[in-house]
Amino acid sequence: MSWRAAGITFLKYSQLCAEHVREALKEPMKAKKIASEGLHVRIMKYEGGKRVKTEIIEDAATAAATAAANK
Amino acid sequence: MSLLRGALAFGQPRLLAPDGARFASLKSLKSRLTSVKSIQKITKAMKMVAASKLRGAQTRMEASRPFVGSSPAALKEALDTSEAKSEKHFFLPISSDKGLCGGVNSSVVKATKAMVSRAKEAGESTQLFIVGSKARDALVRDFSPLLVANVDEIYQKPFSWAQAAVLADQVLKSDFDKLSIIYNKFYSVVRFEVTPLHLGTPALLAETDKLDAYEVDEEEDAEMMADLFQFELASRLFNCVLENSTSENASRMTAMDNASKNAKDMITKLQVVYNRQRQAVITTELNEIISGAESL
Repeated sequence: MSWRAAGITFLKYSQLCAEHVREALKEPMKAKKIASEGLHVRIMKYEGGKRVKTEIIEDAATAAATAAANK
Repeated sequence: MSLLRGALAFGQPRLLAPDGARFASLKSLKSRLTSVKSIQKITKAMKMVAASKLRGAQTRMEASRPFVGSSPAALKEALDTSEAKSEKHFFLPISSDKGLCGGVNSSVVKATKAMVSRAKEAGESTQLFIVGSKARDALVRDFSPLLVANVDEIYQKPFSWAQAAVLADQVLKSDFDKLSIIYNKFYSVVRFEVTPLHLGTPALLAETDKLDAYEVDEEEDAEMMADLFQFELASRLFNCVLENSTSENASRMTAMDNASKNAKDMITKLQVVYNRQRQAVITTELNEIISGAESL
């Protein structure tokens, strides 16, 4: 399958598909659906009992909203 | 400091002020009364917030149950490793980011500690992946060498499938042969129980003969099995996190209800003490005035 060749996982692939389906919706359903699907996760990686890396995964809409809230 | 002492010496208002000071104790009682009243206001508000969040969470959680229920029984059976021995045991306790929600988080932490210790005794190598900052704070002291990652800030918006998918992707980066998700399963507003959910790996799906009825060619479809497992893991995680956050809100509601009740009791008691003392001050003053007038 082509998406597998691109090196993405099934979950990532299904996520992208869902995003495109949502994009294809008409207003006002679209705005409502996008607002309900926020993605914001903070991941802290540990190695040998110490925090080594902090990573924030979020979608564009949530990132924009957080940036606006912080202003 | 006198306020703090006042807080500790509830029921012994005479200790609140030094001897001879007539109004100090009355004043500190009054301020204590005000502070308890404002605490009660806060706990009441928190209860209302938790109640409305609970409604939303419960709807989402109930909507997520079919995701778990829809996978065929054969798949569930094949992945169930509750009895199986393992070498690389991966623990995934789920907790909240915020406190003041009763024993929801501490019971998950307690169960996790017990399970990890048991796994260690059995000679399994263990790894910890903690969801939510509360369990992290409690587990990091004893188990920090086992910690692989900690995920938080997932509850700012209602938990979404996209987030569950990110979690599942992160979990799958580790190498393990048995995965135990520890979470609070929601039964009703007053009943939720810490439940461990044990899952196997895609390798287990390839070995099993339980999926034969579906005419799956294990060797060729190893990739499909991996995808199937990813989806299964994400939907289980989706459901588990929602169950846990529903339990959290229900528990917070009860805890805040109790806190409001306690504050109410305390206010009544303090009010009685306050009134009595105020009356005593008035009586003493009257006595002094009258006896002063008589002695003239």
